[in-house]
Amino acid sequence: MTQAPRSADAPIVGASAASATVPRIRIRGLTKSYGSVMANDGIDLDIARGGIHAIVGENGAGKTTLVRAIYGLVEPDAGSIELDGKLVDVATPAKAIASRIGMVHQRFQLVEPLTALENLTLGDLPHRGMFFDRSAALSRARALATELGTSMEWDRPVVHLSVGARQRLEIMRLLYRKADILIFDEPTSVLTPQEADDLFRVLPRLAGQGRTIIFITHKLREVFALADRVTVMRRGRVITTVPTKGSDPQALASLIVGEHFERPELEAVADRGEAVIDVEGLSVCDDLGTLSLREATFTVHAGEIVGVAGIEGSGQRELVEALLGVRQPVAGTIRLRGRPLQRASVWDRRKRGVAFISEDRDGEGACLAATLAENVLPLERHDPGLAGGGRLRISAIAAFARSVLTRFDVRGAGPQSPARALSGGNLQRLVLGREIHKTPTLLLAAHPTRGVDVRGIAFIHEQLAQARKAGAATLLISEELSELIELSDRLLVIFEGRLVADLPAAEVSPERLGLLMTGAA
Amino acid sequence: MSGIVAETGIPVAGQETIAPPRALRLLRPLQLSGPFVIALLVGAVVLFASGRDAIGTYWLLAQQSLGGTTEIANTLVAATPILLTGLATAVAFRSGIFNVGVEGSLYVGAFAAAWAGFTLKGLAGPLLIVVAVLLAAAAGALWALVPGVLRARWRVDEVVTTLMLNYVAILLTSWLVNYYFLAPDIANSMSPMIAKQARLGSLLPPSQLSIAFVVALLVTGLYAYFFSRTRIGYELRMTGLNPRFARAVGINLGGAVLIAFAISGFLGGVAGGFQILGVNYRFIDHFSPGYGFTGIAVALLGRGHPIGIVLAALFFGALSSGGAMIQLFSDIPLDLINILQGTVMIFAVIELSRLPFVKRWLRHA
Amino acid sequence: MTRTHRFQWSAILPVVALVLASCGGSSTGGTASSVSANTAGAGPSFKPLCTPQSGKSYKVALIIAQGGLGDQSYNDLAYSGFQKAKNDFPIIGRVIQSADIVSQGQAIVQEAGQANFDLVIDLEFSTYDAVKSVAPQFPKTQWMTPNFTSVAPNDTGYLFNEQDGSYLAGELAAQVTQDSSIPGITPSKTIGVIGGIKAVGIDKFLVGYVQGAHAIDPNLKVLVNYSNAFGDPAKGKQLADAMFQQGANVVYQVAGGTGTGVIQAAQSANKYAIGVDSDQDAIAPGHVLTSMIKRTDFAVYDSINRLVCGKLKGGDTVNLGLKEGAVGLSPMKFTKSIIPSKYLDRVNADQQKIIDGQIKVWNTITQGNPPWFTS
Repeated sequence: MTQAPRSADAPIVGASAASATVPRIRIRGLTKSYGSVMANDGIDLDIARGGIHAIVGENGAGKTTLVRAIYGLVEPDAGSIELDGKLVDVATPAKAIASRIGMVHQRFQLVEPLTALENLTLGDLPHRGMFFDRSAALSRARALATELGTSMEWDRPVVHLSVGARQRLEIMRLLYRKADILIFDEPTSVLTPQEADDLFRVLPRLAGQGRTIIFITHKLREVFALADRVTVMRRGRVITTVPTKGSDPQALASLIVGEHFERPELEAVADRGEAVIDVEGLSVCDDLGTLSLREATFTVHAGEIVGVAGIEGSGQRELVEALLGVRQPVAGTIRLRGRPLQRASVWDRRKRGVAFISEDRDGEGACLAATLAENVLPLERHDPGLAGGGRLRISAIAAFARSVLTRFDVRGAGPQSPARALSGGNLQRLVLGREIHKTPTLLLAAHPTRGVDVRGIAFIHEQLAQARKAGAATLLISEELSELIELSDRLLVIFEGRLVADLPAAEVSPERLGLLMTGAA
Repeated sequence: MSGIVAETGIPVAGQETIAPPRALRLLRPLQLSGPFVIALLVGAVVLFASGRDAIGTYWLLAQQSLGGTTEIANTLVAATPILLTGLATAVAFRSGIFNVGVEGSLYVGAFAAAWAGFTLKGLAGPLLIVVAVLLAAAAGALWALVPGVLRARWRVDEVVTTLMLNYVAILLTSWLVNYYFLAPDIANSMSPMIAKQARLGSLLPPSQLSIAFVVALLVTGLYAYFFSRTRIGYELRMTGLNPRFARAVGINLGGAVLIAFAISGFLGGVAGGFQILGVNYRFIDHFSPGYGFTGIAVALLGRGHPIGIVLAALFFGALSSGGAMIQLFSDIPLDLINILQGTVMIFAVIELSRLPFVKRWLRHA
Repeated sequence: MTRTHRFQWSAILPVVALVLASCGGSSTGGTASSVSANTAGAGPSFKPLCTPQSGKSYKVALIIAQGGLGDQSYNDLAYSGFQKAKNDFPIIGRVIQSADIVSQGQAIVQEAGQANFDLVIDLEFSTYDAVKSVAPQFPKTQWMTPNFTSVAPNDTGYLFNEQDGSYLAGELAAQVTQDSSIPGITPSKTIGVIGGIKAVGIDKFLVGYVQGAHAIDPNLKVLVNYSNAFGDPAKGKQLADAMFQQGANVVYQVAGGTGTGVIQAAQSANKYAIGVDSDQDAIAPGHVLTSMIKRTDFAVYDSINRLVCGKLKGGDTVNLGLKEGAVGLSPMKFTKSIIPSKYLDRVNADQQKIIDGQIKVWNTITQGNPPWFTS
């Protein structure tokens, strides 16, 4: 590797700390480009031993590339990485592991049919002669669990473990391999709030044992709850690294977006319009045949946002899928503007103005392997101007896609680039553009801001507000209570498949909502 | 220009989320030709080990498949059925359907064309040919709709049904030809000859190169146009790339499955029909050496791309035709050709660039 | 890659003989008489007709039929004749196989003509049309089409008198089925025969067999059935079992791969089967009474023999029969000891009578089905 010329405006951070003790990790001039995009542009960063170091930034700021470079998954174009002052070559994950660096990915690297114990010891089996020494393995496993202050069902196949347990298993697997630098990529994005709390107990414990923790997050709350120091990245560069003490979320948010930032004020509700969707006694089963939505009855009016609050897995997904038409209800009626909808196909509903923002952006909301234009087109594919006579008008489609991409500020790729080139936030803008560039009759918005950066969240909120103003009826599903309360006119609370409350959002406090969601009120 | 087609080809599991580096993209042609290069190396080792002259053999193989007008024509004749079955397979694969039943459609199509050829003798040549090909296509499409309906309506796994229906088709046509349509003068598992006017004339005598090859090329163009420029092609492609996405935007998945099966079977039937009208002139029990199965390799090797499919079909055609002919001039056994074919097929399904050592090598190259 | 299973062509190939009696193709080649005659079981004689000219070598191609080498039947047998000729004569022999012989046949035949071969032997039955149209374009090349009458002035057809061998098989079966001294025989006046399909080429065997049986005993009952499949041993077993239950002690199979089932049935019922085409006696030793052998290898050898000695003229058809030892019963390696020798004497005597023309065996190819044969 060659030393890249340091970019002039990149501040040398952590220099004062480094003068006292040698940092655990010292990164200098790290540069990585993908085509014309500089994912990392001369990164300098010091990370102290025994600390919890957060990395924040908008989608596409280069956080993931940076940690992947530390873990050997990305080979930098230039720059150096030192551990304890010694230059190391972490060209592959194997070398990183040998240097005691470990990473917990968003998608876990576990072998699902094998048990927790087998996954833990995979690659380094304790053995007696040529036989697996199960008791030795088990005692080492239990020691690790104690060290972590947690428990584990060691004989359970991973496929039957909860997401939180899998994550703990991943952590223990790194410890088993003697890792003392632990990298987490958005560790709480897949966790339930309770599981996240568990993780928040584990991380300080690990740091207290002298290990170094690096984690990427979008949630500023987590930064201030956990981290000692936080590095802000923007457009491939490190903007600053500051101690969390003495900073505050508002200041950090401004640093992330690079300008002063305020949440938009939502206009107060005028008169709510006609009833757009009437749901009565709707019951829906999930994939396993369990009744997961029971006799739901509610109405959403034009110009109204109705939030659905509930713990993940309480039946929200089945509700949305039944309204969209991809899942057949077992009982109940759905009326769109008074006309029954049960028998209508997805396309019939789409034609009648049902819009849908999927909670699974990569798997359902967009087609990553297709181009941006192809991702914008589908709802207009019967438009005579774009596909008259069944023939696609390529230039008209490109122009249409460009207009949507521009209006919804999708950056980073043109209409002919594959959608997988977009960062999560930009992809969500594309989805939003496809679904609401024409004001929908009914908008089903499931977790519309999940995994989106601060600026993106603001944009999405503004768009939802505009759609509401234009008369759309919106059903909003979210796990962010503040988002639900801020955006919604009314809130439905769902608990174990039942709607247990229907309240004006203005009258609800987060505390009360939390109690309703957990069935405690 | 490039239209709105992403260079995606056949959907593969585990898509990388980070765009490949430019170097890798530039090396794509090399990557696609990898299977051929490896196959030739393996073949060379086998030749060497059996005490033969590898370069001489390959030179002879090249001469016998591409060395002259007749040789090229023979290669094109051999490539015609597998180009069509390759396209038939690719249509299904790109729509997310693993149809391995093109062989079955080919058999029923071939039988239908032969039946028209020896039954409707009163029709004029061009009309009879058109009728025979359309009947073949219809038979192939109807045949493919059986697993199509099973999949669309009851979610029956199409790999099993299509594979099994191949044998049903082979045995059904065998039964028909042996019981009801046996040639009167030759009591041997062959139907009567089709009418003289139903034969496709040779474009390049003495070879049997006929309009069938030209039509197969046209079909390749239609295939490209269909997937890049038509709404239904777009819908099928989205279904293949991401069925959940397709469903959510209101594409009728069941309908897409039926359309894909019908087109796939249609092309399989045409492949069978042309083989009868252009080459065999009668239905012969068990006549196909597995054109439908070679079509799978062609579709995979061509990565679903029209040009890739044409090249793969030409490669297999050259190997088949040249491989038969070189035996006239040397004592190379057919087994060598089988080794070459087999090796290419194995490496066709492995994405070379995903192998770790190749990845590293490419990075440093 | 999966290759479709092909049924064995063994028993069907005799059937493909062209029934163009009016073409007058059935005349025996002028040189046939020089092929030395043989007595039963001795087989044909592979002897050069001349001393080959020194310094001259001949290019001969052998096009292998559908099924390929390794079929332990038709192709392999023909190939062994080819190998024998290679040893005896100065020839450059090329063996051409193709997985797609059905479709490539025409191109291969064309290319072989182009490549100036002296003789092209085409075993593949579906390409006789190709030979018919291609051969005249290459008058310097001789062509050989086994199981066909000559299709071109420079093509020599080879036909086998399978009805004669079948006649002898019928005689033997008719005698054996009535003799309780032979192990497993419950004396009866019943024998059976199973054909692959109802077709003149198959009935050629069946009619000869029935005629031979009735020559021994006009009151004998011959059970006739068709398997309608050439590759279905299970069906063969089923049909043979039924015949054994109806009292037959011997069943003749003329049904290719289906026939192995007939032989299995004979073994498990402790009865007898009669094999066809190649010597199948060893498949179930002691339970295959004999086999009606057809020597394709001899036909291949003979054509090369004539070529080298300048006696392959083309334009006519060689009929190979008992006299040439090209059809006939197997040596009965496993059953000879249990068959009373008087039965074999009768068979040998009648074989000579057929050769001498004293017994005329019905030929369905030229005569159609006889009035007494209904099935």
